[in-house]
Amino acid sequence: MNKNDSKSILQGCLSNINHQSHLMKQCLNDSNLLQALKHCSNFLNELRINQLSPKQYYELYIAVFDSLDYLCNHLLASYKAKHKKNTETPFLTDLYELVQYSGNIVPRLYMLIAVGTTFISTNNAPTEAIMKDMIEMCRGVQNPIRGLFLRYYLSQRIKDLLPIGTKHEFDETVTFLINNFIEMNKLWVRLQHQGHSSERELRYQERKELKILVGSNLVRLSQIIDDFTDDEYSPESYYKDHVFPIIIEQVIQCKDHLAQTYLIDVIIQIFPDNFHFITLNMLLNNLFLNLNPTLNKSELISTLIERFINYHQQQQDEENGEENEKEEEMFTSLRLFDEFWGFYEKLTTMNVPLEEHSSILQSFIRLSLVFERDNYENLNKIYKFVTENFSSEEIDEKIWLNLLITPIQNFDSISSLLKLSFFNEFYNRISNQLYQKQISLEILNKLLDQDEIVCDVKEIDIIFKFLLILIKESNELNVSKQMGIVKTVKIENGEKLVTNEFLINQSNICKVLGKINKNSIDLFEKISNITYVRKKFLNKNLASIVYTYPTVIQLILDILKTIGLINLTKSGKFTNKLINQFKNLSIIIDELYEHHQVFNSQLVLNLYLNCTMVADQLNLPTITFEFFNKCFIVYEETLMVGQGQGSVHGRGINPQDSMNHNSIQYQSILLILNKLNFTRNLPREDYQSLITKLTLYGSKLLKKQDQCRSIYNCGHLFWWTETLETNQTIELFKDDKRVLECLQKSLRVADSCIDPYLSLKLFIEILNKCLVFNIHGNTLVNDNYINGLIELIYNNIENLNNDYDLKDTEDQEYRLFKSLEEYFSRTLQYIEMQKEEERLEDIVTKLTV
Amino acid sequence: MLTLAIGDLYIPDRAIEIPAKFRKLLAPNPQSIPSNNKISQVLCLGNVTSSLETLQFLHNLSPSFHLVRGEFDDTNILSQQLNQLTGSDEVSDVPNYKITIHDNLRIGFTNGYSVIPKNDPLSLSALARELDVDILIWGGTHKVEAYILDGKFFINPGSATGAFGFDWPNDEEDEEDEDEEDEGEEKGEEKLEYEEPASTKSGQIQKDSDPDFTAEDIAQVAHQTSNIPSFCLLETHTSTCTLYIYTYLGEEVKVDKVTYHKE
Repeated sequence: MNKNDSKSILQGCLSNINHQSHLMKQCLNDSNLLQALKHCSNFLNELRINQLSPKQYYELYIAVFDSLDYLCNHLLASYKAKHKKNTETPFLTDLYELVQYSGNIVPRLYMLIAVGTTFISTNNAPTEAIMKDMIEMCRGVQNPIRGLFLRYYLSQRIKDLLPIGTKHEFDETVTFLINNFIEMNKLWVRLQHQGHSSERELRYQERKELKILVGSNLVRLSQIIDDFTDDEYSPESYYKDHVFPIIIEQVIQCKDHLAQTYLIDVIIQIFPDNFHFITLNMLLNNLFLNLNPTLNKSELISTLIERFINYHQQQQDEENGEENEKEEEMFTSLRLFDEFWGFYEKLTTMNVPLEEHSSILQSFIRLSLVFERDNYENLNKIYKFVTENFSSEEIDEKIWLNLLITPIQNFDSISSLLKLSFFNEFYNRISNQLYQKQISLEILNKLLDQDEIVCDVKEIDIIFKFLLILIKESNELNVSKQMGIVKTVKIENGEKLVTNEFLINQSNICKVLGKINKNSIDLFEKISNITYVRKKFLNKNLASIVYTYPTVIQLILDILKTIGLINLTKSGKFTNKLINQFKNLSIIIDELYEHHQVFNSQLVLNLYLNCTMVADQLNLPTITFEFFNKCFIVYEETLMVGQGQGSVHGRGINPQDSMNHNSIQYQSILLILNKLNFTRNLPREDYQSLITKLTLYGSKLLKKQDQCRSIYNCGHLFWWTETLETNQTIELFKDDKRVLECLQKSLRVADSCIDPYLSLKLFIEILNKCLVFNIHGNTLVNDNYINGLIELIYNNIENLNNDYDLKDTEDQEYRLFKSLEEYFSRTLQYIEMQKEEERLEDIVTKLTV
Repeated sequence: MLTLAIGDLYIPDRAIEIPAKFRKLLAPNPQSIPSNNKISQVLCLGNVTSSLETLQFLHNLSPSFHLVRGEFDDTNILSQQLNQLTGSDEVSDVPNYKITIHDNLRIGFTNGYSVIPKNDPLSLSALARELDVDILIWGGTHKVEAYILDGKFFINPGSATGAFGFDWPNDEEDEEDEDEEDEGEEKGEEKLEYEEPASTKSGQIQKDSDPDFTAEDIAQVAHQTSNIPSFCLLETHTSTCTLYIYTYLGEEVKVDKVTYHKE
């Protein structure tokens, strides 16, 4: 039968129900009860239909339900009216008899239930007898769909009328509900076998849609068990003795895949946790072991275990309750894990798929970690079992992977997990690199969650053994990555590709380094731990040390700075140790330089420079001097010849721009200059030899603008302005003549530029530099000197004005010229502003002709 | 218009992450892009340094992200990663400085490692003159500060992570003078922060028979050397810039306000 046919049948039925229901209501209003019952029977006849799907049948049922409700309300109202006049009115008793004369069984039983339940609701009826009668009568309908809905109607009508006043009533009610459940379950299971065998899958789906009908009985049952109160009544033991065995008997007996899956889930979800604790043994060993062999038990077990875990966590959240103690006792006496393990051992004698084993054991791991946090025995048991019972062919690594990942995610202390011998043994059986990497990443993430990683050398070994695969990961890309799935970055002048993922992993390893003994006060141990990681693990892949060594070096340097500052207050107690540590640090930087000279020398330079800063602050002049020497070596060997950076963008270089330059040489000189300028503790001869050398480097630069700028900036090396050290005992180094020499030399270089605009720009830059030195108190760079420079600039501007007749605002040269004029005038404005503060007072900013 | 100035993060080499309270404040809707619908542009002063995650966080904050180079940045890698984030084929530039203009205000920003001498107010002022900017944002010191000099506004947003640095330690007395003068409250909180590790470690001290260092020694040094995480928000309108300075002290975020008006 096609869809449209069944649709039109459904429409026919619905309109007939509407029609007859309408007539029924009219008759009821006319007080013609018999005729009304006739119409009622008529629309109930529609429920005898066979051709509809369960969903469509449900639509009929809803329509009928509403109409029957109208009838019931009417009957109750008439009963109440009659009852007022005569308390012994036999109205509903008679009616209950009367409807049984209806010709067809389906309408007859619906009416019987409608009248019967209305009767019970008056509180004036032989409730028990009617209940028994109704449930017996329902046996008369054995067609699965019709039967299921009829019984559903019964349970819906009666659900709020069930008597639980006395123990006897309660027993009867429970019996009634269980009886209805058993019968409905049978009908539901039988539905599977209706129709042609080719429709099995369809039936299965249809039955899925009907499952709530069956489950509703259990829901009500759980409420009733909870609601009933009696002195000698204990819900747990009642459930255990009188409810649970009967229900699971049914579940086992029906052997039906869907019924078992659904009903066990319902049982686990709707009955309270403590019920499950006391029936756990039976649940596992009687029920789970006797289920349909094709059924996946792992999901049911996981549901059950998650329920226990939630319960446990809730209990811990409301720690103050007194009852908790009782519950806790119950847990321990029960030894949940052992219970599950005993069951598992029996289960393994059956034919269970590997995936099932893996999922079940994962749930066990979670259970054990939640309930017995410190009991690693259970975990050992699990790994041992797997290693012993599954041959290597059976170790489908992908399936077992989660068995390693689950504890990583759930363990409090990662290092105690990694110490478990069976965890290790099991890990060693995983040979697939991808899976090993996945485990490493999980461990890495777990480590990042911790604020501090407290460990000694032994524990470092344990942790980094698992991270080694990430350290060793090569830059070479495999096929999937070449297909463009993964984002990559070009390094080393485009010669190599690395993935973003690789860079992130390296970055995370660095974060782990930063967390090692973060808050420890044993600073020397902290250094030796970091050094140990570097020596034992990080240098296992020299190609990657460029990503991790900078962190190692800077972390150690920071600790050395702390030690050194303490040392200053403790009369040099640690000076020798410090010097040794600096030497060790130098070796690490040397190693980085050795392997990454070509593309990362500027990084190395920066690292050495930071060492000079710290060494100088700690008053270790020989170390400071040595590190500056290293800097100069890096400069001469690599940077000076233009190497040492990953790749330089081929953007156009604007010589006018003093800040954006692509010259790695000039940049490096500035970096050294800016550190050298802040050293305070070097012996003067050493300092002077260094600054002379640096100034010389500057004067040897290829490009005029780089030369000029290097030289005027080097002027600062001869003119300290800031007292930096706390004791303030060191006299500031000031050599006004050398400053002036620098300025004059830079002027000569600027003047020698062929490009007049560049000359002009550099002149103005030098003018600004002169102002800085003047205000900083260099009396040789005096107002007179500056006046001369201003005049020079005016002349230059005038020459340019005369040389070209440039008035075209679109012309690039003209615009450049204008911008230089503006720069100059801003400088002059600044001078005027300074005069208000009694500085630069003798400088003439107006052109004097 | 609201502009975020942030820099010197040094992740992962000198800091693990931006404090969680800052992250929450900066990105109220971490799942959407932009993750902050109030900020119009982000100016990052560099030294990110090698954290794609951080770069992405900063990039996703606003519709417009600008990055200048810090001396520890690998501009080669950063510019490629920026390209991936913006999805454009154009090569993202990581220059030494940039200028943005809003209404009557020209804002220049640079990391500051190539300002000679580093952090010198006169040299910064000279740079502002050369670049013709009204506001100069610079970094490199990991210390938040803002001042008006020669009619221009100078802003250092400090380090968003409070990353350690290798500059000279603070002159203790100066620091305390300052505290007493205008930030009495701040000082109290600061103390709290440094004393905490000291008390948690006291157990360890007793275990060691003769420890090289005591927690007090270390706290004393930390007081001189450690940096407070900070960033700045600039609200610009016509010729006025209102600066909000955010600092993270003793688990609390503190906000200070400075206003600059261009003459």
